[in-house]
Amino acid sequence: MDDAFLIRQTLAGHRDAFRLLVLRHQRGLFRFLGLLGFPPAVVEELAQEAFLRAYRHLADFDEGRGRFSTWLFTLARNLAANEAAKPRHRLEAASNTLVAEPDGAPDPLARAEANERHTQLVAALSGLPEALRSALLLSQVEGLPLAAIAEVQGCAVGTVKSRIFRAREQLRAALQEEPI
Amino acid sequence: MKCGEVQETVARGEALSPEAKAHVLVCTACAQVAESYCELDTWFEAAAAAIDVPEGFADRIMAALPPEAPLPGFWCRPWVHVVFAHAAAGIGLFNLLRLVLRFVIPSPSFGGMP
Repeated sequence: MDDAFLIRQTLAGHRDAFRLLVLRHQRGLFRFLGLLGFPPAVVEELAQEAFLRAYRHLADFDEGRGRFSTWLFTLARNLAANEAAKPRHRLEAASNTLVAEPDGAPDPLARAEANERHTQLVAALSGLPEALRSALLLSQVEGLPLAAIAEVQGCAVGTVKSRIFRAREQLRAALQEEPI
Repeated sequence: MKCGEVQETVARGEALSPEAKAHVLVCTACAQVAESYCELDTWFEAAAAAIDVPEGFADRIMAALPPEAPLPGFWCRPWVHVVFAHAAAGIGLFNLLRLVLRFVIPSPSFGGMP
């Protein structure tokens, strides 16, 4: 069952089809928003709003223009940009509650190391300009093709390539400054 | 093979050609760059894998959905297209009639008799 089929089923009134869409894309959306540096509660709020908007405007989604995931990430990116622009500025290093325990390792030391690494990465990421950060995450974490990222960001493929390159370079430089 | 090219490819996260791989094996500077990017990629993988979806998230989404099926936006609704097509046809017909009548009924401004 591809996304297009599930969208058609949802539009025909089968709500459970939308549930499958949520289950299929929720992980990617949480990873994207989580690594953008929002606290877990805000990540959940933004992810929920992205899915609700997607549902409300599902009939306007044009299969011919791109993938559902690209459209969903565009919605999420816009929501994240609005959230980051708020005066209270809830963007911060993600708290430990977002970090799950490493596989089969309830060991507090391993957990602390994972948390530290995560916090370090998020801190370095949050120092990047938004356009660079989201291009990098969509490519590195979600594995979206360059053309899809260009669609999400509303720019040329060449610009996306350059953003990813600059983001990786800056992140590496920032991470090398801090002791691991 | 130039170091700049190899390091740029590594920084872009693109796969290295066999020639570039061979270069990395013998060039200390490129090896260091490749190693640090590899470390960065590992961090990303670990950080992404550590982010979990909260329990029952999909259920909360489903509970928050409006009861009715999603409707197309105003401009995408079929009846809007029909209304606008009819309006456009009506305006076109009106203008055509006006043009025809202008030739059939002589205008006083051009010396015709009312």
